[in-house]
Amino acid sequence: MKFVSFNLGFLISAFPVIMNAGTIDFARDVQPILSDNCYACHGPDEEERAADFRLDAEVDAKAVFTPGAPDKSELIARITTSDPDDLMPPPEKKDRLSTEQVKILKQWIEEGAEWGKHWAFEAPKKPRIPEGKEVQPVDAFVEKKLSEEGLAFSPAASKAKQLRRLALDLTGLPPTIEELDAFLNDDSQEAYEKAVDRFLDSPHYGERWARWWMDAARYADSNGYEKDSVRHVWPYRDWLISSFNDNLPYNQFIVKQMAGDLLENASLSDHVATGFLRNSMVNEEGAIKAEQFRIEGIFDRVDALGKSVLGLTMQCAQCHTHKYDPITQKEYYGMFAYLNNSYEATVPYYTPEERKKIESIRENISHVRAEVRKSETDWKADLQNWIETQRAAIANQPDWTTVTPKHLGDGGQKFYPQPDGSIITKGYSPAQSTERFLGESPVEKISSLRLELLMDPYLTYGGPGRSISGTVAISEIKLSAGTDPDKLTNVALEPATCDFEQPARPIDTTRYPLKGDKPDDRTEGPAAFATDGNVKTAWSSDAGWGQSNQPRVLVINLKEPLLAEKGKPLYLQFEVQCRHGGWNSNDNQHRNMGRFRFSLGGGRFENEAPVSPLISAILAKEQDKWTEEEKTRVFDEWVSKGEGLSRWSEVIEKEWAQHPAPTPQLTLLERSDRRETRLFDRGEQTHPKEAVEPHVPAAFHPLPEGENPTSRLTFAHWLVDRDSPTTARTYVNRTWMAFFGRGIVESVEDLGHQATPPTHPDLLDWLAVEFMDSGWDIKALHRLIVTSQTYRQDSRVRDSLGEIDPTNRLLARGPRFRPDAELVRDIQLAASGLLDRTVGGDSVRPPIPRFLFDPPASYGYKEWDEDEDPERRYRRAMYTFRFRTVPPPFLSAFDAPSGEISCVRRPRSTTPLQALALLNEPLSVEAAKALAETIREGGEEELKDSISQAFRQCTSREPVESEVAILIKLFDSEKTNGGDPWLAVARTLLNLDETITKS
Amino acid sequence: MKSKENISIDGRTLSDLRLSHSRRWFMRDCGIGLGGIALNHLLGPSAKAANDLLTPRPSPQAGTAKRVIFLFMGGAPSHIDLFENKPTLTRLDGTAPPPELLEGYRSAFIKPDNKLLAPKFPFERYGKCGMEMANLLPHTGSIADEITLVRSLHTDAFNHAPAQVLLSTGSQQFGRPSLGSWVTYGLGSGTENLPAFVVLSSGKKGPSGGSANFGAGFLPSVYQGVPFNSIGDPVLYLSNPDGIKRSSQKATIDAINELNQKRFDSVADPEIQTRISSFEMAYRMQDVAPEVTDISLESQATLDLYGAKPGEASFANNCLLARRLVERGVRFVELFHESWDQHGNLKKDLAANCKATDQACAALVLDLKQRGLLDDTLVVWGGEFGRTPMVQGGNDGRDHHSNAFTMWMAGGGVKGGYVHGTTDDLGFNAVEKPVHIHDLNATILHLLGFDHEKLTFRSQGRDFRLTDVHGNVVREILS
Repeated sequence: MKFVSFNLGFLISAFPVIMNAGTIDFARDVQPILSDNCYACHGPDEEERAADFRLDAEVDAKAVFTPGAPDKSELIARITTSDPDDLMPPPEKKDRLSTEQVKILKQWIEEGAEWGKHWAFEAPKKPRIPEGKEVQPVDAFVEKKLSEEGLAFSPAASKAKQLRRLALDLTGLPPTIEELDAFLNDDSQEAYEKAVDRFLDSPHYGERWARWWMDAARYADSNGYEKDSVRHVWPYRDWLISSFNDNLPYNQFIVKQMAGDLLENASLSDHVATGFLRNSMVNEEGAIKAEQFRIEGIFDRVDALGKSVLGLTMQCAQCHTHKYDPITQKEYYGMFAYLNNSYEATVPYYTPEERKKIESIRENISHVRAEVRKSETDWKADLQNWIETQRAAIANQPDWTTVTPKHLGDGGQKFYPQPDGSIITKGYSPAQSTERFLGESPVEKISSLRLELLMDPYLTYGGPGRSISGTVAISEIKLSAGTDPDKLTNVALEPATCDFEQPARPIDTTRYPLKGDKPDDRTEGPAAFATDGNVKTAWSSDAGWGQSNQPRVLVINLKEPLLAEKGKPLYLQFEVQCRHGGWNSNDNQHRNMGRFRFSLGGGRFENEAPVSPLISAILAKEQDKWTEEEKTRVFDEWVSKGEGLSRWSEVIEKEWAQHPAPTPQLTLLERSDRRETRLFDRGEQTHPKEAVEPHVPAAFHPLPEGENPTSRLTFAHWLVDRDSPTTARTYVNRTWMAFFGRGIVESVEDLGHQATPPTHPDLLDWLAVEFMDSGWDIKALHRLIVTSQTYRQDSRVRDSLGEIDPTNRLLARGPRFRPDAELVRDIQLAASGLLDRTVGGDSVRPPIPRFLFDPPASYGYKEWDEDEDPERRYRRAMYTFRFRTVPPPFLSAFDAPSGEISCVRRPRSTTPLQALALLNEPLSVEAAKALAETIREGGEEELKDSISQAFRQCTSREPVESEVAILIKLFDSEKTNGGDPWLAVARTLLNLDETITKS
Repeated sequence: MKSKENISIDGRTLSDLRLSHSRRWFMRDCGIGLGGIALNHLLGPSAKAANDLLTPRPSPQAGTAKRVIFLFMGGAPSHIDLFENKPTLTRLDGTAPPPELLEGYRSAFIKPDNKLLAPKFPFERYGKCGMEMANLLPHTGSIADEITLVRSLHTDAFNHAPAQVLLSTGSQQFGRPSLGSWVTYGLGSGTENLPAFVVLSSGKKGPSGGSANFGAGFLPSVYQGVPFNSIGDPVLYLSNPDGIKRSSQKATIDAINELNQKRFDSVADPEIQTRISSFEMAYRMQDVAPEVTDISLESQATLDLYGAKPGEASFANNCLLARRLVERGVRFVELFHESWDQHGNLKKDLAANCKATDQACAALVLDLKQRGLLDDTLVVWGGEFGRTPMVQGGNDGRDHHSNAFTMWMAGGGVKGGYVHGTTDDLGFNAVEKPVHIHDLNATILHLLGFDHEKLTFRSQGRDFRLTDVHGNVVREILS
């Protein structure tokens, strides 16, 4: 104890940042002590509150202190007494206030005990820019603090280092030699500002800042948990890149990510933006309760928006009222409720080029339609005839009775009966499945069966299947029946018919491979394949891109009608096999049913084939009320199925065949019927308590007026409301951290009562308000920071700065630290010349030891088809495919997060495993070899120059003579010893601390 | 200068603590605080030796264990068939379980009213203590007098990934530090040449939650588990690249460090010194690690004891490797063996699993004992939950079951020949002396000399601990 208090004494002189001698500030000095030591029992949490007394609210707290008289204040008496019965915190807590803390509380009372709200819960006001010799606002605030400490700015860094710092911060890449030379040769006043503008305009700017946001967005390319199967969410990453490049204002940036789907005329991009919320993990284990993990996903979303947008830790309030910050448990579930009313949808994403292609396909098809109308002179009458025939067919059906079996499957999938008698499948989706559904027949005579395959917003592209294209393939349907459910006998079926038939074709073995090199003779095709007794043939709903995602219906007649025995129940068992998937159930190779419904017909189904459900629905409406789209759909169906029109339908089919494949991007879609939210007692889902309406915490600013108070969109607007006390501060603070290595508030994820005190509170507030005043202009914020003298300083730990301010909180020197893992990789690739600078697109697979993706290192087999093509292999690290359970080891070694939870502050370590990765990892070695080649090009006679050049590529500066000498010494000794001297030099350069450091 | 510091976090090493002004920074802002007592030990006189985050340090109280080998039996072994001789269950085989037992019960796949299924293998009594186990485990039986068998474990989750992450980190929420990380955070490492926390994997699959099971969460990442491969490079990227001779590697690292030193002379950032040391340690690891993982250096007698075969990937090899690692100062070795998820094929798979693991588990304990290491090495055996006394499928499978399961511990200050806790007559609920995962973790930390309420780390504005707000030390099992 003595030891610690001694040091606190020392601190007062050494760390005025934290504690100014002189007046005590409640929020800065007093409240942290109360929060740390008292709020757990005397704070906001009612359930934990002791003696019904709270120290976080002035009205209560006033009772225990007498302004001006510490000796008469019970607060002081209770923390200093020697009576264990009275002592606070109670002796069993083992936490004691230090002498220094007691002193602060006494001084505060002596000075009048002025109460205040924690700074972060008051909306920021723009402080006056301090007057002094600095006029740039950032510099003025920093300089003020420095001069109070008797310190001054360091001189500006060398031009080369300034440009390197700037390039790394704004684009995540070191400057090219050309950029360096151009800058060094530009003696104009505006040279630096021009460089700033150039980097802000670089397409790589968006990449750098997208990656930064991806930490907060817990981006990953897989679902996490056990199966950890692949997801395709790079469109969200592309959206981030273009948002930063287009300088989308931060308030819109957040609104789109929180509720892009609810915007008026929401574009595909707006939907993609909600991928932020969908980056939560998904558990696909065999035994899950789907609802449990849906809720876990929402907990995760609240956590992510708390850390990244609000700068508050929300998790506490999941189980109980927050112990430190003004968020009650009910308010937590109020925010939860805004996010609880959505479908977890998957939309088809197309790149702009693909969208153009689709546009031209549509145009071409519409030309064909025009042609049909021109060439088929009687088309109107023919079409009408066809419509009447369809209507007659629809009328001519048995009376269908829906049956919802009681026993729902035993193949590992989870089946959830719906009010309409249909069944939704969730959870684990095996690549090869056999499911049995057993129930009692509601009718006494059965002559036919109907299996409807329905759409549902939770299925990929709406379904009707569970595959990642929303398709389903049914290898075999069997029916058995009997009076004893344990002794059922097979019922003979006639060939199935469907509204969608296609000729037989071999299965796509790339998407649905069997294990090993076994010959695969499976086929898919017409509906009859589902009832032919051969599991190697299947009916599939796969009608090609753009046409597969619509409801389908299969109808099957029984060879003999089935009759119930009088007075006895008739048990039916439907067995559905979906064996046209691949072998790996952890790799999206399944094609199971998504939402489906069984019905029984008393009579036989006498039509040739059922009418498409989409067309049936249109035909059921009065023809003069059809929309244009409906008319076209009917027209197309007629062309496709009507007699004598095949010459047209073939042309149309050829057009459809050109349709590009979509990417399944995860998004949110709002439900029309409201899902009830209940507060979970102690956060446990098995203990739901009272219902909670969507609402926001009372201690914060109110919801925007005139908006629907229960809408997620309103909540999104609330998050970025000008009156939000923490939103702008959180963003500028985390931005500051990206540039300087630590935030003005170091705990960037938490600005609440337990936050670390801000080093420059006025600067934080000024930046926050300035940011909002600028229209939440991110590039302007970045420009403001990087054009400051503070930022441009030399980073040498000069004079006694290492002793006075080892962590550079006062900013008497420029930032110097090893940047994020991705930048380390990108620096290697850029310096060696290997980097492929393509922006955007899907994830790539650089070399990673294969064994990590195989059991027993990985839970399941994971596909890691290493990219050989330099255009993929050498992409920036942000494009490296990320399995959550097997994160890329090079990036993990440099502290990259796994994406399992939101991360707004990475740790930054220096470890031997990093050294091993830099020295020996394949891509590091490839980079070294490439760099070695550039040195070798000049030959030995130009060795010195080539080394200097390579040195510049790595560090952006010229080496000094003695540095070159060390490298030449290495070169010579390696030459003598039979090593590769060029490679040795290149490896050395790429491994330098300076190469992988921003300084 | 801090020449020995090869590891740092956010630019700080523990020796920075000796600079008094950064001590406060470290405590308050870096979040490092082992609680009141531990804080003193970290920052107090013993901090003289603390020259990096992994430097070994004594625990606040004298712990009986100094290192841990955790045999993580992923997939959840059937406690019913291996450890619970229940005549009642045998008698009621094929009947429905009593409905009152099933009230509020949540199962994974099966209908709760599936019929009861008797244990599949005969039981025997082992050791002087007469500990009962299935005859599938004769080797484990042979060390009965060395182990504490805890029959009354229970947990909160009944799906693999959440339950494994709960057993590994004390929380179902991802992102928390694992037990191994907490232990190395508390005690540092006993080796400068190897990672402090090593992970090995065998069996059919890897751990269900993946790397979250051995992650450092919000602890500094030096505390995360480092997966060793049982074949090839033991540590990722340990070997020199193809064509690079050892002498070249040495010359290169020397040149790197010489240039780094020059840079340090110019910019004076202590982080450069840490970088230099990290390359030195990497070089030493390249030297040492291949030898450590070469089990062919063991005597034939030792290989036979474990049933280990050099060059194979097996649980037995990993057990032997674990001993070699702790001998060399590795603080925490975790062996994942994921193959116990017997929804079906119970009889055949269980027999095969026991054959693959039983001998090596016992060998590990015996070997540690004969080398004098068992007294301060804690060995823990167990999975993430148990299995239902009810049948799944036909008559040869069991479903997930979180209400009761069995683990065993040996060495490091736990009793030998002791059985703790009991379940009801069906092995369904832990009824006597129930032990939650939090209690298990509290006990493990206690054995290592930590008060589980005091080993904390500040993150997101609060002090986190392995046991959250739960956990009681199970004193009865302490020797």
